[in-house]
Amino acid sequence: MNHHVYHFGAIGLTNGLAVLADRETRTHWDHITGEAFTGPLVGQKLDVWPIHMTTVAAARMEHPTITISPSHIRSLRRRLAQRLYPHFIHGNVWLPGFFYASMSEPMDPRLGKLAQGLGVVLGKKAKYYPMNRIPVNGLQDDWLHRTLCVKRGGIDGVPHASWLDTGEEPMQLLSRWYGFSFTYPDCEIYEPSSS
Amino acid sequence: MPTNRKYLPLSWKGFAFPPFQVPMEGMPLSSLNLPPDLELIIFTRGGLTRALVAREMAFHHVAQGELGGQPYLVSF
Repeated sequence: MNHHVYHFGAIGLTNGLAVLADRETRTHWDHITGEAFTGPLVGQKLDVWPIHMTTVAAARMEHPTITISPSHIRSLRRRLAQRLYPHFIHGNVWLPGFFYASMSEPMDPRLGKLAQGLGVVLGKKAKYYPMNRIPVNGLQDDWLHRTLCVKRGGIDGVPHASWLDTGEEPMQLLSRWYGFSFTYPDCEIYEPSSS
Repeated sequence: MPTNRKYLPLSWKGFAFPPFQVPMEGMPLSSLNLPPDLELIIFTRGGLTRALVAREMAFHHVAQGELGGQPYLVSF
């Protein structure tokens, strides 16, 4: 950012989501939007782009030349974190009590707080596609005067979104409902057509 | 975006969890005997695609490095 490399880490929670800080200025950053919200760099924003959750089997098939960087740090806290969260994509997750203590307002009741889904973001607009509303063969949704295709991976079952007209991928993240709705409180929720 | 944030600090000095400083070079995924259902986070920079192990990121929360000549930060 601004031709400098800053070094980031997690320092706390807000609304059950990690708060990042940079070592250089101790500015607080939203780890989903990339926005600085407290500290010397408030108002700055990091560029953001999608990352994808998948499995080893799917990655081998879809990205034959992919490389991996395993972490070699060993610690009791790491073992505990890994045991608590062995599966994120389709598994149920448990939130420790202090996650709830960091939540500043009632959770959006439109969906279950730990529902899994794909959140898609375009500028200030956002839409959430609950996993259980995405058919195995995918869906097409008219949104913002364009058609968004949401497909599920054949091996990992993970949804991905792309625009029908260009094939480009908008900003998107696989997210539990509480995290996405706290970050984008006015987001739309996909409803399958009744016809 | 939310304007009302309740902040719960987990660290007053340094970071709550050690960020993962990702080496510039990765290992071919095909060279490791990993379980097929092991979950990964994958991302692309500079035309190259890298995988991180999701459950390791549940500990680190942040991975940072350079890929394809471009700096990146992955958070989880």
